Amino acid sequence: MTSQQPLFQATAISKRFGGLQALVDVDAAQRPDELLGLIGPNGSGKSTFVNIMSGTLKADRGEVWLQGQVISGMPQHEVARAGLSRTFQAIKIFRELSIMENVTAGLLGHGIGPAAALERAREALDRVGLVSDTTLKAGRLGLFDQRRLEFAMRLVARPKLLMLDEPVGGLNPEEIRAMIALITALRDQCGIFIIEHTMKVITSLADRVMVFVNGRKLIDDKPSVVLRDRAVIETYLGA
Amino acid sequence: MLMIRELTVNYGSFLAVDGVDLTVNRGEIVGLIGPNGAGKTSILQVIAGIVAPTRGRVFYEDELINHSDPRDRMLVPETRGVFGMMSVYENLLVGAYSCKERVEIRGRMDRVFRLFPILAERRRQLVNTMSGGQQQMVAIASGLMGAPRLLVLDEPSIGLAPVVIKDIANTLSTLRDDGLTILLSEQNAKLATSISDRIYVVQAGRIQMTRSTKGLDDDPEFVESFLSLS
Amino acid sequence: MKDLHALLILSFPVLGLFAGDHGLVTFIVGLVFINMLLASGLNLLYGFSGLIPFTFAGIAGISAYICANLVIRAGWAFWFALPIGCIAAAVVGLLLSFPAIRLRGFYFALSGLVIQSALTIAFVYFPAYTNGDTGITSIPKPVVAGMPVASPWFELLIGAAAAIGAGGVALLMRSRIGSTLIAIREDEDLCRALGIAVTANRCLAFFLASLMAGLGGAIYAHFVGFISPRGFDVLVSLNLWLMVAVGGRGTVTGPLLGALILTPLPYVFQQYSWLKDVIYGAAIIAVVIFLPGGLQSITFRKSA
Repeated sequence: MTSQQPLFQATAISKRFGGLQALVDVDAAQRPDELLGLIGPNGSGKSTFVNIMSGTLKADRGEVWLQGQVISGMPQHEVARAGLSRTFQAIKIFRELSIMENVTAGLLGHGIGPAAALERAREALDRVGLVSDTTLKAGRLGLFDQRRLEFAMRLVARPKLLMLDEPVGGLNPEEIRAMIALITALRDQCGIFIIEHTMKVITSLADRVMVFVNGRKLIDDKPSVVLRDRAVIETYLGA
Repeated sequence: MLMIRELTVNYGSFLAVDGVDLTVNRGEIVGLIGPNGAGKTSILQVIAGIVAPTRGRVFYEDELINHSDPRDRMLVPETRGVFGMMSVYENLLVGAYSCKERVEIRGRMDRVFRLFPILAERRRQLVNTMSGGQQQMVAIASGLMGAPRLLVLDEPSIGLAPVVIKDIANTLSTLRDDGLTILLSEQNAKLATSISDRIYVVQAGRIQMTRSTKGLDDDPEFVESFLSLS
Repeated sequence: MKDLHALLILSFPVLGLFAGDHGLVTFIVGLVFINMLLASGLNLLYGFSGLIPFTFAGIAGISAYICANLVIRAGWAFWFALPIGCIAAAVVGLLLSFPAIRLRGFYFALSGLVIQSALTIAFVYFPAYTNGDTGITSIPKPVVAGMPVASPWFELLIGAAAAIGAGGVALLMRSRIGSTLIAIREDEDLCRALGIAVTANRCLAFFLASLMAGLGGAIYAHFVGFISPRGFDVLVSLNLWLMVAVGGRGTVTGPLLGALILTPLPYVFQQYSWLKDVIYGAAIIAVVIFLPGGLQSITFRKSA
């Protein structure tokens, strides 16, 4: 029965910023075994949606459930503790702290003792393939390694759902390939949700794709269907 | 128009650029492609006059410009460099700061709004309330407002929806046809090669190779190693 | 290694106690220890948690006035009045600052300025308790076994309090709470995204730091024997902040060094008060430009 319960469910989400209607009556859900993608023109409400899911913003209307638990209205840090982790478009790490301090920071809000934290940290770094000396300052890492570190900081808390906001921005083709492989490997750790503009990433990874345009969900289907949809081509992909 | 000889840039003990030679002719679009940390940004910052070269010479219009005022070279940096607390309109005005003619500024702004209709719609909106991709558009538009003769763009396509990237590619081509010279760096090698007339491949602070983009489709090896992702 | 340095710096003022004449030098030694205690507490807020606390002196003042009143008016022993003063100061400080704690750096500092000003005004305009601008005089020394504590024992006692305070901060910063506060200082948005309750942790840091402010304030009252609103105004907060910044914020030895060096200065230059200000100003500029890590970074050379 639990395998039938959606990983997350969001219903009738609406959000307005002053005169701008960022999201209008959006419904979304993700099954436990699928990787869900989100694409759409700039300013269509993608990041706003993730912000609402993660508790950074409060929706004007609508509700969000994570594995059956209501998380809408919870403050950010409680949503994270409930098992929904997210990354940011612009890489956010503690640049002045060491790699190890960064990863163990991912557990500071979760009540795990220092010994167990170290253990989990090593495990997480292993999973993301970050092999640098862990005493190095995180700011010294290259772009891709910084993204790996971001993942490790989330994985260490064993989230149920990991939402990635444009994870391959700024990566070159070879790194993008490696990132696709990494995300594929992480699928058995937790549910994954990705916002992206790089179509190769979406087509390689997503089982299903949602398209947002002007704050509404335009279509919600397999990538092959979505990327051939006339409206999607017109508003998003270009001829 | 732009000639760089043996450019070397050190940040403390870190060698970012190691003896680079580069040429950009007037009315060309030149692309720099290469991985992160290859030195592309440093090269662009030297050209824009933001970073001083440790060694080497940079000639702009036959003048040595190592330490000069970058009046008609505008850089649109990777970090966007927009003013979040100001509106789109105000950011564009800042881009045109060196121009005193109101009519001229008006004209440039109309042109920019035609290229980016979304920005026209939201001209009064505060930039830090806009999405990442929209901020990128503001950054590029702001660079264009300076009506530079050489426009330098550091990874302009980051965070932009595919249709916007196509529009920008068309825009840059149009601008080139109108006389603008463009130098850009890109991770999206396919994009870079599709708009550029010539490309340089940069790696570990050095130029690995350079070629014209004519007849690129007939070079499977090149396509394979650099263009396998859209 | 660093702990050894801290102990050394803490012990240094003791030398002053052997000056023989229990006069000015001994007095300065006591003040140095009090400032070491206060600066360590302020460091907890500023150096480790990244909060600029203009209200620090005001909170110390609350404790000083409560303690003095309990001892003089209600006849309590210092040792019972002290904890009451500290806790009261910490609770009031936290209540006053609670709305501000959720604000970002600059705005928190700004509201701190307002709260500090309000406290100073309160000290002046509640003369029933504070004797207004005139202040409270003849605050007696603490009594042990029927006898008031005499120099040099009093100063040594204060030194012990400073050591406990600094040690407490050191222990805290090595704990999980310490790591959490440092992470919040570095990037509070990232912390929230990682599940850290930022506001709750900040409140805890504020409460603990306020306890130390209260401790220092009450001790000051009974050491100097005289308190007035001027003694706990925003300039005093700034002075303590300077000690932390010059000494080296975010380290255990920093505030100790800062207190050690800056406390005697006004007395050394008593005749040339303008010189003291010039030196203060020069010190700020020099540290900002040449020693962003503070004076303590001279003693600990980081390997490249």
